[in-house]
Amino acid sequence: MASKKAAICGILMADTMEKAQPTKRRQQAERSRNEIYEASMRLFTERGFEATTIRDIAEAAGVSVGNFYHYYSTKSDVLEEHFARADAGFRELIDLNLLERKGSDRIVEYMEHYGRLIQSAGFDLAKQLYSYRTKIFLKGGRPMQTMLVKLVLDCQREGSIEAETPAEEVCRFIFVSARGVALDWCLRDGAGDIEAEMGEHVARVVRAFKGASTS
Amino acid sequence: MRKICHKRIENAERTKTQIYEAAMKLIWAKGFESATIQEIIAASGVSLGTFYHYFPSKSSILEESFKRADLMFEDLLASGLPEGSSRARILAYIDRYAVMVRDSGLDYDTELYNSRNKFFVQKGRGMQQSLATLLSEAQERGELSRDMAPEELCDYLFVAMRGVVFQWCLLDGKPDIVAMLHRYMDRLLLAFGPASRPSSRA
Repeated sequence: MASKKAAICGILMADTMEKAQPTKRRQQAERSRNEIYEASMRLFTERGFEATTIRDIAEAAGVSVGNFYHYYSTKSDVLEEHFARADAGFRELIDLNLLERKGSDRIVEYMEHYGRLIQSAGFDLAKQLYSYRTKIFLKGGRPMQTMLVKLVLDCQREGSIEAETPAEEVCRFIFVSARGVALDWCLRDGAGDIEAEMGEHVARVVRAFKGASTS
Repeated sequence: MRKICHKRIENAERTKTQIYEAAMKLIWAKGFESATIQEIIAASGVSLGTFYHYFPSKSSILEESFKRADLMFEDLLASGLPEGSSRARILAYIDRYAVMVRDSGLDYDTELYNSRNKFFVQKGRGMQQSLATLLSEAQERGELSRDMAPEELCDYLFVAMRGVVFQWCLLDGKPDIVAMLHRYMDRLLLAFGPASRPSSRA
């Protein structure tokens, strides 16, 4: 729990640190952390999360094992940071773009971003994420989901989707289908354009929430 | 002579089923990846040679399970569905699918990306064809819009259904998958209602 907070703080601090003219030491620390992060993600993708050891990561990043533990307390922490970085992207999309506009197409756009994220993570990593050990990361309550709830609420308020179903339930409903799309893409070994597929699929799902009053 | 032949075929069928059932029980208990052929032959009381006579590999057991599932859905379509609205018939099909998932011993505690699921996406076509037939019937009756071809719509629904099964796996298989899938698909079908809703502005 504390480590999750730390990872998310790390992301948030990335902004403030830029403004605060980081010292050389801080810059160096940020660079080391990033090298460890990049090396970890590369290894998770190539070998799988389970099969990667912290020793492997340290070696690939050119740091000591002790140094790894200075930045991350577990392997899962690195994965947490991956999700925190992803969440930051969603937050930006929501705050800077989607909440300013109108219409239920925004939900489709939001989920296209989710598809884009999976595409850019690559099939090998996505495949890893869709396994038991990491399934904890796919559970509800993550910013990626709570931000969609915010967007759904906005759509319900303006009447572009029905407001009878609680926004949380709509959000869960959408993510269930979206994971079906992602899983399908994985099972096809990453063939096809998942961003477009996600958009088309979710556009349909959204239609199931257009009540008579919003037609 | 013919009688003997017939009996031999019957015996062969029985042995095959015996191996198949023992294998499915093991797969159910341990997951597909960890059930070994050695265990399967021990449980079914046949030799390794006999196993390979009927099943060239462990995956051919899965192939057999899909074949049986295809047949089950064909039977369902032929005589097991309620008369009445297409929507009710589609949901009855979906219920049966959920029962199959529940009873199939899906490895929800291991990887979801695995050879078994991969296999299903590539080869589980017969049972999908049964659903496509139902969807086509629904379109003809005007219960579902025609803006997607039945096969395309069928693929769409299967992607969503796998999403629900995945969600069920994330919840460690605890919720009632039959109720969960029914509720989900009941809602999702609204997205495919007859397209021409009379516009109030016209």
